[in-house]
Amino acid sequence: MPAPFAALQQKLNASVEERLANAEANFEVAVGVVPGFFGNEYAEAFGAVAGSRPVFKCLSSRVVAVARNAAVSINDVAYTVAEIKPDGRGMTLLVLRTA
Amino acid sequence: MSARRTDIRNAFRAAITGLATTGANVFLAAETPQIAAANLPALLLWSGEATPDGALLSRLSTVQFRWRLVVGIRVKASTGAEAMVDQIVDELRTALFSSAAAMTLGGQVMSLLLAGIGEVEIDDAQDEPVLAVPVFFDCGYA
Repeated sequence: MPAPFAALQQKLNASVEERLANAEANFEVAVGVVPGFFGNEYAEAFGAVAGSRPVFKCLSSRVVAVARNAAVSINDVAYTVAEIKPDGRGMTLLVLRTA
Repeated sequence: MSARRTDIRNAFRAAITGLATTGANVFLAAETPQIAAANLPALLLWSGEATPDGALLSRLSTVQFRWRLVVGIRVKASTGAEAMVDQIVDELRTALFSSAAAMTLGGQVMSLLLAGIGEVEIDDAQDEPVLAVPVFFDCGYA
């Protein structure tokens, strides 16, 4: 049984996902469809090349089987997973690359 | 009448405009604070140091300079980015050294030398890696 604080954290994460998720990530592997938070903020390369940095944040428990280079589709755009960054509090940030 | 260096820079820019890979995406670094993703791959052009050429000073009455021009290659791709850089380098060499006229930028310079190709730098901040590679040219002019 999780410690009391961990249980609260899990409850909070699940509640945030349920009420605030803004996208679904469709993984080709067995993971399936995962709700979470998609962002594609402006990002510059070398201080001059304009572009964006797509990321997807979701419950860590939902993406345990996801590995680097996994294929995923979000809002009908195909990506691959470039980096997997668990935050240690039950959520994982996936840094994406355009496929 | 424009300055000597401006004429050379303009001629150099014209010579590297229209490459098969970068096309019209040739920008002066001093005038281009931002390059849109739609304008990649691209070439950025900026001026390096100009130094008197000592070997020529002793036997010529006019001072000659060796002026460095730098072409910054910018490429964005998930795969094949370095191969694209290599292709652009080849296209630059063809555009600048394929004929005697090209090697003087249409009579603007006395000599043109490919002085070196810098290290490939990779910026991973975006949805695809962006590569930056400087290519150094030395122009001799009086």
